[in-house]
Amino acid sequence: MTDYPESSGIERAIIIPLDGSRTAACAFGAAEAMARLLQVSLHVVHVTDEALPEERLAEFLNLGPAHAKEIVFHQSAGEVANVILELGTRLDVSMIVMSSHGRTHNAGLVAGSVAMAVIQQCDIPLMILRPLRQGMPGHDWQPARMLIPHDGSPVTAREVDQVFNLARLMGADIDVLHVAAGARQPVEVGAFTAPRYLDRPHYDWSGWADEFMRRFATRQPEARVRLVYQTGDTVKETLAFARENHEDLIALVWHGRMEGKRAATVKGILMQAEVPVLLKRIK
Amino acid sequence: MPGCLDAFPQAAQQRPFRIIAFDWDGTAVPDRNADATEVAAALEELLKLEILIVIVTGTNFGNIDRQVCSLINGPHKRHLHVCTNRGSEVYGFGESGAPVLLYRKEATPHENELLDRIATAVRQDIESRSRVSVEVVFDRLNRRKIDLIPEWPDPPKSQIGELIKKTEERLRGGGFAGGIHSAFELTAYYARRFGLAGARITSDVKHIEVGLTDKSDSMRWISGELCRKKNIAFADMFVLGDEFGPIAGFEGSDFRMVLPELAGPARAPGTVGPEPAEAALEAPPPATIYVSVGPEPNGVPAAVNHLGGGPACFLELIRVQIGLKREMLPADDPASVLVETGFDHLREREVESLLAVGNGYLGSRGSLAEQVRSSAAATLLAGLYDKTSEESIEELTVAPDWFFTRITVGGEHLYVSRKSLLEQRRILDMRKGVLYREWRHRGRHNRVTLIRFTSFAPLADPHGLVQQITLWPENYRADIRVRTGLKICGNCVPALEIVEKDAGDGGAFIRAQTVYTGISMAQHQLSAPGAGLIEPAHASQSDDSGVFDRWSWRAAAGQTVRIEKYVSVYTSRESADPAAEAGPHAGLLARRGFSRLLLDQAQAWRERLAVAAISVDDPGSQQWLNFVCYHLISAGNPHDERISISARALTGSIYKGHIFWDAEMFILPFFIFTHPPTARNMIMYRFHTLAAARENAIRKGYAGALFSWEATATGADMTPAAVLDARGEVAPVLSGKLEHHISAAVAWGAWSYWNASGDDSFMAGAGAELIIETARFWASRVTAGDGSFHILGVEGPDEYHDEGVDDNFYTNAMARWNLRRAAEAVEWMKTERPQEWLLLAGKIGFDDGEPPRWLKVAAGMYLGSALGGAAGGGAPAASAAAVTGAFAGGREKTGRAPTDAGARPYAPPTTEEKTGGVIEQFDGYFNLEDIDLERLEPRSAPVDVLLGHERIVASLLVKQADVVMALYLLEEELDPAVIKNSFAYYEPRTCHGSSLSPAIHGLVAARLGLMEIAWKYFRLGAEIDLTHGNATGGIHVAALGGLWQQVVMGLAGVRISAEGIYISPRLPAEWGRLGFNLLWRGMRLKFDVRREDKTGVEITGEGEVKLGIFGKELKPLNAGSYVSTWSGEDWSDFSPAGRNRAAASVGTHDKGKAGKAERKRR
Repeated sequence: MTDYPESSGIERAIIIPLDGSRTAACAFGAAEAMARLLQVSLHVVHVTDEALPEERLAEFLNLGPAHAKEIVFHQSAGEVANVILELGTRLDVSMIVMSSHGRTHNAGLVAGSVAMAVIQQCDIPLMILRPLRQGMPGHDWQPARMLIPHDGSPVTAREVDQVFNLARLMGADIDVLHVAAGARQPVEVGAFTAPRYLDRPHYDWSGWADEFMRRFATRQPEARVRLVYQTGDTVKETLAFARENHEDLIALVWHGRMEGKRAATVKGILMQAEVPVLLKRIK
Repeated sequence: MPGCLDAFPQAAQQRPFRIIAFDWDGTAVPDRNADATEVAAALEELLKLEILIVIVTGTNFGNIDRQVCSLINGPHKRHLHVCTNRGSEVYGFGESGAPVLLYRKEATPHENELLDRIATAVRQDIESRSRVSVEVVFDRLNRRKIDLIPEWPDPPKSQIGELIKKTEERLRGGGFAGGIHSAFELTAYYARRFGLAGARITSDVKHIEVGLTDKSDSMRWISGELCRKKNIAFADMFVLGDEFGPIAGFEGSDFRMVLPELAGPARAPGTVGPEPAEAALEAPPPATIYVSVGPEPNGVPAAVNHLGGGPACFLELIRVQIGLKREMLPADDPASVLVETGFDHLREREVESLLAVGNGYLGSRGSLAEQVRSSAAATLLAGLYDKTSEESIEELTVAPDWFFTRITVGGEHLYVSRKSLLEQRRILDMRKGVLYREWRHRGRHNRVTLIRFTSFAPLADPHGLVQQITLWPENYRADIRVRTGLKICGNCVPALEIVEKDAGDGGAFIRAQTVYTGISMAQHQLSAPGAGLIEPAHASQSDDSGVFDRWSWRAAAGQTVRIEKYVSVYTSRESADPAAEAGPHAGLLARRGFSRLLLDQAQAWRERLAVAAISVDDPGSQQWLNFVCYHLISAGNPHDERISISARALTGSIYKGHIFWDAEMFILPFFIFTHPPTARNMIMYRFHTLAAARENAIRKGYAGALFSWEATATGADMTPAAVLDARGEVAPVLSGKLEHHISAAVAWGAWSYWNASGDDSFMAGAGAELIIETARFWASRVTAGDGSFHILGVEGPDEYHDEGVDDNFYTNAMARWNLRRAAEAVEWMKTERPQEWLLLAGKIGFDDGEPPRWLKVAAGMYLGSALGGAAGGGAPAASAAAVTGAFAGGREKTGRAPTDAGARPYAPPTTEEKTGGVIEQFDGYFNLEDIDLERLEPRSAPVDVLLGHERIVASLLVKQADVVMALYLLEEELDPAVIKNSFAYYEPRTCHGSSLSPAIHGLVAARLGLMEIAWKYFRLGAEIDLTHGNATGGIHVAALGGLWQQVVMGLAGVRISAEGIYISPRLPAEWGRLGFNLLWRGMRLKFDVRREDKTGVEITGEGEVKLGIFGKELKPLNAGSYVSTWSGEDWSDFSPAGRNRAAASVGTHDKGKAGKAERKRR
C-alpha cells in the first residue's frame, strides 16, 4: 500500500527515510540542508504497517523542529528499501539522504540492512551519514568542500559529471583525488592514470593534472576544482586527505556490488569517514 | 614504352583524373580477341581508387563484357561504365557486380524503317552503277552497316593501310569510281533524302555506318550523368582513343568523342591548358584532356595530343594514373599509417599529438577542423616565443588555427557527436606527412554527408599549409556552407596580440605580434572551390574570433564539391615584413594547386625517407619505426639555425617549447646521419646562443659557456625556479641550477656533427668556439683536491638525486671528453685553419696556457675506482684511493636499514663493486639504500612518487640512464668488463621514470648481446607515445631519437670513431632483417642486415669511407656493394659483393700511412 501522491515526474526532491530511531534521525539535518541548497522539497518516508497521524509523526520520528520550507510526509507499508527506491523512482529525486543505520544500530557493520539494500540498488545520488558522530550536519549545513576520489576511468568520469553538478548547486569547491592504487588500474580505452614518465616533473605534473580534469570533468562545474594525486591505500589516503583538507563531504562513484571482498574502498570509507559520504552508483 | 610518356603533357602527367574514358578496340587492346587480363587488372586498380572508368565503344555490351568486364569483380565495379553500340547504350554495374542498363536509345519503328531504307538504297545504288557487290548488316541497334569489302571479315586495325588499299581497289576496280568517299557521300545523300534528321554517318573503311547515335552521344551521357551529377569538372576527365585523326578522308571514329563543350577553345597540339605556374587560382584548366595512342598517320585534331604507342602506351598511362592517385591517398600498408577510428573525447588531445603534421618550421596538432570542446588545437611556430609577464619565462605561443572549418548543411552545423557520427577515420600517412580525415555525418532529416579533409604542412615549403575539404551529400539536396579560415585562440596563454586582420576577395589575413619578445607574425589564407561545374558563392568574414572565407552552394545527392585552402605563415624572425611575404606566398601555393602540392609533398617525403627510413621485416616494429622517423623529420628544421628542437617538438606546448640537452644527445644523431643540414642548424643554434651561455657561466661564477638547462631562442635560462608538485605543494626545480652536463652535450653534438659530416667550415666558424668555451667552463668548474679534480654539487641525468651530488660519473667523464676535444680542436685550428684561428683566438681571448690546463684537468678528473687504472685514462692513484675510502666508510654512510616494503636488506658494496667492476654513479652513491624495484611491481605511479622524494634521494634507485648513458657514449674509454658489470648493476635499479631511459638501456643491452633485454626496452620505448595517454601534451620526440639510436647504434651495433664506422649487428629474434642508411662525409652507406647471415652495404658517393666490423680493423672502401658474413660467432670483414666485386675496392687500413693522411682530428 502506498499513500503518497502520483508524481508528475518533474518535481525535484530530497528523500530521507526514517524509522523513528535517533540513529536514523541524525541524517535529518543534512537532508534539510540539501533540500535548501538544491531548492527542492524534502520528502520524509516512514515505512510502517500502521500509519500515524501526521501531527504525531514528527515527534515519533525524532525530528525536532523542522526548518525545511516544505516537508512532505509519506507513510507506506512494504519492504523498506523497495519502498524508498520506488518513491525515488517515482519522484524526480535529486538525492536520497539517510543514516547508515536505523533502529537496530550495529556499529560494526558498514550499514544496516535497509541502508545496505538501498546502497546496492540505488542509481540516484545517495548521501550516507554514519550516526552518532560528533558534529552531525544541521539544517544550516553548508558544505564548502567536496572530495571526489577518481580512478581515472571513463566510466567513473561519466557518473562524476552528475556529482560535479550537485557540487555546483551546493556551492562547494571540489578536490579531485586520484589515488594510484597498485596494480588495480582501469584498463578501458580513454582511462588516464598516473603518468608513467616524468621527464620534467615540473611540466609533466601540471600537464597531467590539466589533462585529467579535461578528460574527466567535461562539464566542469563553476566550483573550484583541485586535483591532487596520492599514492598508497585508497581508503587511508582518501580519509587522510579529507581530514587534512577539512573536506565536508566525500563523493564516491562505485560499481554497485558489495558482496564478499568487493567495494573495499566504499566499505572502508563508509565505515571510517567522519563526514557524509555521497555515493553515485555506475548505471 | 620510351617516347610515349615523354610526349605526354606535363600538366596532365602530374595530376590524377577523376574520369578516364576511352575507346576500347585499338586503344586499350589491339583487337577484340586480345587477352585483356593485364589491362583489366590495371583498370581494376583505378576503380578501387574511385576513379570513374568509361569504356566507349561501337560494339555491343556482350563483347566488352566477355573481354574485360567479366574479369573485374568487387564493389568497386560500380565505378565502371560501358557506353556501347556507338552511343546507343550505357551499362553500369550494381553492388553485386551485375550489369545494369542505365540508358538505351530505342529507335522508333519509323526510324528503323528509315535506316533500312537508307542502307538498302546505298547498296542498290552502288551495285546498280558498278560491278561491286556490297552487303548490309541490318541487325544492329539504331544503325546499319554497309560492308564495302565482305570478303575480308575482320581486318585488324594494324592493317588499316592495307584495308584502305584493298577496299579502294575493290570499289574502283569494280567500277565504283568514287571509292570509299563516294560511298560515304551516297549514304549522307540518302539519309537527307529520306528525311533522317541528325543521321550519324561514320566509316571505319570496311564499313559505312548510318545510325541514330555515335560516340558523341556517349560523351554527352558522361558529361550529363557523371560530370554534372557528380560535379566533376571537364578538366578532370581524360579521354583516350586511337583514331581521332582523319583516315581515308574521313574523320577518325574517335573524333566524335571530342565535344566542343569538353574540349574547350582550340589550342595548339601538345598543350594542355595553361601551365600551373601561370594558371590563376580561379581558372583551372577548363578542358578535357584528349590523347591518341593510335598511329594517326594523318595527324590529329588540335584538341588532341598524339602519343602513339598503341595499347602498350595506354596501359602505361593508366599505370601513371594509378601511381598518381595512390600518391594522393593514404598508403595501403598498415605499417605506414596511424589510424584513429571513431571519436573519443577522452583521448582527443592524445590523438591530436599523435596525428600532428609539421615541417620543423611549424607544426599543427591533428585536431578536428570544427574544433570540438575536447580539443587542444594548436599551430606552433619554431621560435615564436612570448611570455605572460616581464618576469615570467618564455613559452611557445599558439598561432591562429588554420585547420578551422565549420560546415553547415541546410542550416544545421555539423559536429561530431555520438548521435550524428556514422563513421570517422583519421589517417596519418607517415610516409608522406599527410593527415586524412573521413567523416560521415548523419544530421537532421536523416541527411548523410561524407566529408573528407586532407591536410599537410609541406616539407619542402615550410611556410605553407595546405588543406582540401571535400563534401559529398549522399542522400539529399540542400544548401551547404563552408566557413573556413584562421581562428584566433581565445584562451591561449600567452596570447598573440592581433595587430591587423581582414578578409575579402584577396583572401583572409591576420597580422599579430608577441607582447614581450617583439616578434611579429602574419598568416594569409587563400581558399577556392576545386574544379567542378558548381560555382559556390563567396563571402568573407572578419570578427574577434578570426578571419574566414565562406563558401555556399546548393548541391544535390552525389555532387561533390571541394574547397581548397592555402595558408602561408611568416614571422619577423625570417622576414623584415612577414605580411608582405605571406600574401604572395599564399598565391604561389594556390597557383600550384592542391594536387601538385600534395604530389610535391609525397615526393619530398619520399626523398627524405630514402635516407632516413629504417626497414625491418616485422610489421609491428615497422610501424613504430615509421612513427619514429615521421615525427623526427617533422621536427627538424633545416631552414633556421637560430632555433633547435624542443622536447615535444611542435606537437604540443606542455614543455613550453623549451630546448634541453635532449636536442643534442637524443635527437641530433638522427639528423647527423640522415640530414646533415638540419643537424648543422641545431648546433648553430647553440652557437648563436653562446652569449647567453657565457653570461650564465659568469653569473654562476665560472668561465666559458654554461648552456641553460631550458632555453628558447635567446639561450637565456628558462627553467622555472619552483613549481607545484604532484601533491600540489611548491617544490624547487633544481635542474636549472645543477644539470651542467648540458654544456658537454653541446660540445658532443658539435664534435659529432663535424666528425660525421666533414664540415670543416662549420668547425672553423662555430664548432671550435663551442667546444673551447664549454671546455673553459669545465676547467673552471672543477675543484682540485686529493690530487684529483672534482665536480661538486651537480645533478646528473638521474634526476632522482637532484640535490647536488659530487663527482657524478657521467658529468665528470663527459667533461673530461669535452676538455680533450677542445685541446684537439685548438691544434686542428692552428694547423688546418690558421687564419680563422687567429681571429677566433683574438675574439675569445685565448691563452696558449689553456690547452695544457685542460689536458691536466682531464687527466686528473675524478672518475671513481672503476676507471682508476684500466680505463680511467690515467686518473691518479689518489683518486682511486679516495673512492675506495668512500666505500669503506671514509664518508658517513647515508644508507638506511630496511624498514618497510620495497626495501632490500642493506648490504655493503660487493668486492666487485669496490674493485672497479662497477662504476659508481656519484660519490657516496653505493652507500645509499638499495630498494628492490621488482617488489614495487606492478606499480601504478612513478617510483619517486610512490616512495617520496626523501626516500628516493637516499636510495640507489635511478630515474634514467646515467652511468648507462656513459657506457654508450664513452664505450671506447671503458673496459668491457666495467661496461658489462655496470649495466648489470644499474639496469635493475633504473626506474625509467624518464622517457629518455628505455632506449639507451636497450642500446647498451644490444651491444652486450642481451637481446631479450634489448627487445624489452625497444618495445617499451616504442610504446611511449602510443599508450597510456602519454602523448597528450605532445610527442616525446627525444625518446624517438633515442629509439633511432637504439636501432642503429645498438641493434645494428654501429660505432662512430674518428676514422670511420664500425658495425656489429645483433638483431632480436623478432627481426630477420634490418635496413638503414648513414650519411658519412658526403657518402651514403646503405646497410642491409640479415640476422646471423650477412650484412650488405651499398656505398655511394665520391671518395672512400673506412668501414669495419667492431673489434676488427677498419677497411677503406669506395663506392660499391660489399658484404660481411656471419660465421656463427663473428662477422667477417666486408668484401666486394657479387657483380660489384670488380668495381669495389677494399684495402687494409694502413694505420701508419692512413694516419698521416688523416687530418689530425681523425
